[in-house]
Amino acid sequence: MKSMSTDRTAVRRRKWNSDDRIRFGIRLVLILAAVIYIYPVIFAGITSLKTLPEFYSDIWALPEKFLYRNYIDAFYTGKIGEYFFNSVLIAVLSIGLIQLVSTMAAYALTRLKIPGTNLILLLFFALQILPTETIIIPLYVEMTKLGFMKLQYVPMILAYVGWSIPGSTIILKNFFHTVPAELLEAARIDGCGEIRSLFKITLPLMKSAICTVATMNLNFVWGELMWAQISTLLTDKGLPLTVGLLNFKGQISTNWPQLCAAIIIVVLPLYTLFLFSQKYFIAGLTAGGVKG
Amino acid sequence: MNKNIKKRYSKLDRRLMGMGFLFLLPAAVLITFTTLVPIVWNCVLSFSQWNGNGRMKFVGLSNYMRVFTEKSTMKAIGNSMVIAAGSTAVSMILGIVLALMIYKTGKREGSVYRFIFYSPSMMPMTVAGLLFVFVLSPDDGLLNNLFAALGLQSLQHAWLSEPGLVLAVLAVVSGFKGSGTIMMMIYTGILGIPESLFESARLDGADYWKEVKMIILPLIKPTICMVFSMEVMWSFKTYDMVWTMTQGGPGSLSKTAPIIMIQNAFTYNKFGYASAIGLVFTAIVLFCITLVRRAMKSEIYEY
Repeated sequence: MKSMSTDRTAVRRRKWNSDDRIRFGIRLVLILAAVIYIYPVIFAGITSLKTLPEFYSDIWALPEKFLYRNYIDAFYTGKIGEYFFNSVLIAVLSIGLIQLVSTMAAYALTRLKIPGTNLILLLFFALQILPTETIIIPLYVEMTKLGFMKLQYVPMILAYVGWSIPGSTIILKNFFHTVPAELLEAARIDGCGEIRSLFKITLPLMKSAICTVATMNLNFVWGELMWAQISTLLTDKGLPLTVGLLNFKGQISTNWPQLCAAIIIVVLPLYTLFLFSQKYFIAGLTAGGVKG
Repeated sequence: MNKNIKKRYSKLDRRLMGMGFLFLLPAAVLITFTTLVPIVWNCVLSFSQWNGNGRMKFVGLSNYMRVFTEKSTMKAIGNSMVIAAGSTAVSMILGIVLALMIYKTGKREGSVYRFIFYSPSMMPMTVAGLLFVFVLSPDDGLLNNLFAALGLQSLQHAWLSEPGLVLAVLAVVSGFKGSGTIMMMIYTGILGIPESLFESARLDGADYWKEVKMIILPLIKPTICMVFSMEVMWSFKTYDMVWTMTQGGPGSLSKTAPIIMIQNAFTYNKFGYASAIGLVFTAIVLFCITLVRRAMKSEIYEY
């Protein structure tokens, strides 16, 4: 009896050891990988605080003093500040509109008895995986003919909203199914109108679904380049960050410290945002194929 | 009496239906304007010759014939597929391995790793692309200077302007950028496996590699399949990365299908031909996505 129990602890100790060894090895690999993943950004951060001669004399050296000149130059002279503002405006308006329109559509498809709901959903699904390459040339022609291209922001917002509705609607519809139908029927019997029951009863129950869809669309709208470039071909007003950054790179060529400052200006808010809304970011990833 | 009730219900139904159409209207209008009309127009354009101004001329299938016979276009479509395949492979392997390793570490520690590995995926393609233009720059770049510091001068390259390298570098960079997303999704999948399954395996004395092989991988197969088919879809969106990093260069060696398409439309004013390129490319992408989805479908476990 006694020998058996010592045997067992011995076995356990040996297993712990090998497990620990695996964990140690894994940790080593992970730390190395982490350095590879994060170091480019840290290096850009360090470089952004140096002058150009300082950078060329020794690229590894830490900055001599805290130099924020590059940030000021990038922000004002390089107009990164202006581009940033444009991007925020475009993102906020697009995401708001996408949310409003696709919530209404999802509500209609779930709770209001539309004939052919499945057919509509199938169409939405097909549209969602369609590459934008088939769309943008005619869309450019269409919007030019209608005079939209002369307007600031409008071509981008309209396209982003239109492209994101199908995917967002599908996700929201899946969430709507989790709201019990009895709740809405009870409200209906009490004389609550459809619009009120959507905004007062259903939406408050779907806060996380809304955040998920919003972060998913933010990801797309914030990073989109192809349409942003084409829809601003003839203007230099109202450029979003993606296009603006490329222009900025064109102007400064190999002034790396300034480029790094611009990159950090874009990246830092994203990291902060992620830290606070990690949950929704991840939900947005798994919620459905992201349109783009 | 019974009839009366029925009638009242159908009246309610009809009212709901009316409301429903009203609710659906904004979505329908926007989708029609931004997607459906352009798609139809694209098909029409692809059969005509049009310089963006003046009259369209119907030319039948000749645009499509040109897509398949013009070398530069076929090369660009090929480049798109090479980058797509390469970046899918890189991001899937990195993502799965990282997720499996992170799962083995503690909770708090794991969240730090997850943040770090996800951070490149957070950036817009343009920003990541510019960052890598800096990292890979021949004289001032991080990578070449690192090789110099380690005494490995023989490994230094002009990463983005050597003909034999540029496609591989683009594929690796976009795979690297995508790996964070894959890691997050796979990790979420692993968390969904019931803890009890691991406990019984541990009692049987399975080590981590065995756990991975016998429990985790088979059980997250549905997640892997889903992630894989999404990644294939994303990986064809090469425009941002390639345009930011090489603009299709050196020469036109790294031009991908979207770049050729946009240049034909907006630089050479060949809108008809550009539309045909867009449609052929879309057909190829959709074919690949369907193929992958088909292949993955039969491989799903239930637990």
